[in-house]
Order: sequence, then structure tokens, then C-alpha cells
Amino acid sequence: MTTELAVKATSLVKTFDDKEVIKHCNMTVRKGTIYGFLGANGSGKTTIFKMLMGLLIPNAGKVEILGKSSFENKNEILKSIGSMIETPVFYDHLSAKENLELHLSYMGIVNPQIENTLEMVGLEDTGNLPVSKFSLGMRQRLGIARAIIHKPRILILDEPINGLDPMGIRKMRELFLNLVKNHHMTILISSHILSEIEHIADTIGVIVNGRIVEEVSLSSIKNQFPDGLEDYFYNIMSGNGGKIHA
Amino acid sequence: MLDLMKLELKKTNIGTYIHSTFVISIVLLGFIYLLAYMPRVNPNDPNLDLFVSYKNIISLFGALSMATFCILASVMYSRFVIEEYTGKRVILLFSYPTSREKIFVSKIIIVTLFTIISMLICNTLIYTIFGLSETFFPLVKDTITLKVITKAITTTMIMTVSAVGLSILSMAIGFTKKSTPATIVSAILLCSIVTNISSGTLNSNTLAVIFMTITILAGIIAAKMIVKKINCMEV
Repeated sequence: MTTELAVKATSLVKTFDDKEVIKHCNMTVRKGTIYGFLGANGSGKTTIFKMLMGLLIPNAGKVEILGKSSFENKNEILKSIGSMIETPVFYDHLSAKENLELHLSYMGIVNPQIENTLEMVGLEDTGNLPVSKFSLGMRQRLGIARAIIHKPRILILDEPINGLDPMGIRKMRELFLNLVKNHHMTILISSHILSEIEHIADTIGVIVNGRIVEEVSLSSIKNQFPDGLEDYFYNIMSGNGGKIHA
Repeated sequence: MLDLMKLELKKTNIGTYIHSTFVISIVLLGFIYLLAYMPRVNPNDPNLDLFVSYKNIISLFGALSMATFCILASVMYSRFVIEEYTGKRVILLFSYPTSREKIFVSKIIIVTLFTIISMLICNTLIYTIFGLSETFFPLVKDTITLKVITKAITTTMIMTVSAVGLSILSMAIGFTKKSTPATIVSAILLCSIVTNISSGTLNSNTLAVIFMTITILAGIIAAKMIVKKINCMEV
């Protein structure tokens, strides 16, 4: 069964300054699906994403990425992950193309289709413009381009649509669906824009105060909360219940 | 490793530091003439006898040149290491399937090579210009002998290695404090200590070699400690 899973995290615990911020979290993400990760600010979404990538070491628990332990096969796993964690940073004096070339060199990949990827995120006309001249939305698009250009098997995106205009949000939604459908990627995405998650996710994971309280399919949520994800999320966050019995 | 070094050079605009080296060379050239001209300002002042021999001028100039290039190297370390490992960029850096140790070592090699090459070129140019002008229009009441030339070469070598060692030490301090100002200020402090000691022991090559050995060994130990920290760093 494990081989069907892209991500399997078991009993993850992380403490900072003796304070337990992640409390025995379990996460299961099936290959070829979009996992929408919801939670309030400071609930631990980014910390979990960082642990999946090996940027943070859990105090307890196990992470398996594509069936392999993430601590023992760190570099191999990093090759198959594309990520955008927190606000993306770039080498501002370089152009979008040069930033992507640099990224590919570090990933050890040659002969990429940089122009194509820039086109996919709507940055095809940036030419030699240095990234320092980019708007917030353009930087966000470039961050997404960098996460997908090396064709990873797993895409970890932390608030990827922050700062995007409605057209950009729509374009990214189509892009994510296309990546799953045609490139067989698995996407883990966190966002505060619930309607977006509602449009693309197959599974929803909810984290409250460092504990993943639910992992259910979006269709089950829709059955019990026909008005949408907002009601479901509000119910869980306010402690009014909302448990889905899928 | 060479590939990683090329990538580092691509990431940082090295032209700024080449430009800085050019400006430093002009200032240091002016300084060596100032040292040579000093005794003429007040010929009766016995304190200025220090600048009457080439040997002393070379020692003082060497110490100043070392301090200047050590501070330039610490500024480079601030950009290449401190900014990369203390800001948000470290998340990106650690997301790559490349050895953290190799990336760090490639940064140290670049700054070290740049410091060595720029300092050697700068000193060679300055000594050549100064030596030629002294042949035709002497300011110093001394003669340029083979011994003086040897002294200039050995001092340059010793000071270059010392600059490398001290700049690595200042980078280690800045890394621990996670601060660019701490890197540059510690370079200035370390240089002032070393230049004070070396100016007090102007004619002792042995002491200079001992200091050079201590600084480079301390630099290597500091770099190894930082490598250990980076390998288990969480971001």
C-alpha cells in the first residue's frame, strides 16, 4: 500500500524552546492527488511542510516520501520535490530565466524548457528584466515556475496564490490541475483562500494547534456541507464539530 | 566543486569587489608614498626615522594592506555566507539535493582565492610602481637591494595568508552572531590587534610567521566548526 502513497508522516512531533508546536501528527497523501492543507495562522502548516522536506528534523515520528524514509534518503527525495515555502526569494539582479537556470544547475538538470515554464505561469514577456523590478504577483508566479521546472513528482506549495490577481489565481488553478492530470504530480497546497482549495483539492487536511484533526475527501465534505468548505472549516476551527464520517 | 563555485559567482555580482580592489589599490599606492614622504615633513623629528628604511616601510605597508584586504574579504563573506545562511534564502539553499558542506566550502574557496589573487596583484603593482619611481626620483634615503625585494615578497606572502585566516575567523564570529555588522566589526578588531602586534615587531619575520600560522590554523578550525553547524542546521 505504501507505494501508492506519495507522503506518509507518522506521529510527527516538533518542539521549539520546549514548546510542542506539532503534536503527534499523521499525514497521508495519495499519489496523483491534490492535498489541500488548511489551518489558522501559526497552526503548524509550514512547520509540517518543512519537516516533509527535511528542513526541520522532527523530535519524534517518521516521514516517508515516495516510500523512502526522508532522513536517510534526503538528497534523493529533494530531487523529486518542488517547493515554495514562505515568500519566495530570488537573486534579484538576475532575470527570471537566469534564476531558473541557476535553480536547474543546483538540481543537476540539463536541457530544460525554461521558456515553456515561464509561459505556463504567465511570465513569458519578462525578457532580461531583473527580478528586483518584479511585482509581488510576478515573484509569486516565478516561485511557482521554480517549483515545477525540474518536473518534480511532489509539489509542496505554501500559500502559493498570495498576491496574485484573479486572472493569475485562475491560471494557477488550471496549471495545478494540469500538472496532476498530465504530469502525474502530487500536490500539497496550503492556502487561506478556501474557495481555491475547494476548486482543486481531492483531499482536505485540517490542522488545529499543531494537530492534524481531519483528513477527508472533498466529496465527503461537500455531502455534509453543501454550502462549501467555509462552513466546514469554520465549524472545525470554532470547535463546534464538523467531523466527517467518510 | 568547480561547478558550485561557478554558480556562486553567477549568484553574486563579483564586479563590485573587483571595482573595490581597484579603489583600494589607488589608496594604498597613495599611502606608501605618504609613508616614504613622512621624514621630509619634519626632518628633525626622531620618531619619523622609522620611515627612513625600505624594510620598515614594507612592514608597515604590508600590515595595512593585510587589514584592508581582510576587511574586504569580511564584506564578501557577509554577502556570500552570512546573508545566505541567516536570511530566508537558506530555505532555498537547503532545498537543493546538493551537499551543504560542498556549497559552504565553495563559498570559502571563492572568497579565499579572490583575496589572495587581488592582494597579490595589488601589492605587486604598488611595489613595482613605487620601486620604479624610487629608482628615478627617490624619496627614501635608502637603497633597494635584493634583501629589500625579498622582504617585500615574504611580507606580502605572510600578510596575504594572515588576511585569509583572519577573514575566516571574522566570518565565523558573524555566522555565530547571525550578523553582517558583527562580521565586519570583528574583522576590523582582529586586524587592529594583529597590525599593532606586527608593527611592534617590525623586523622579526619569525614572529610574523608564527602569527600567520596561528591565524590560518584558527581559520581552518573555525571553518570546520561552521561546517558542522551547517550540516545539522534547521531552517
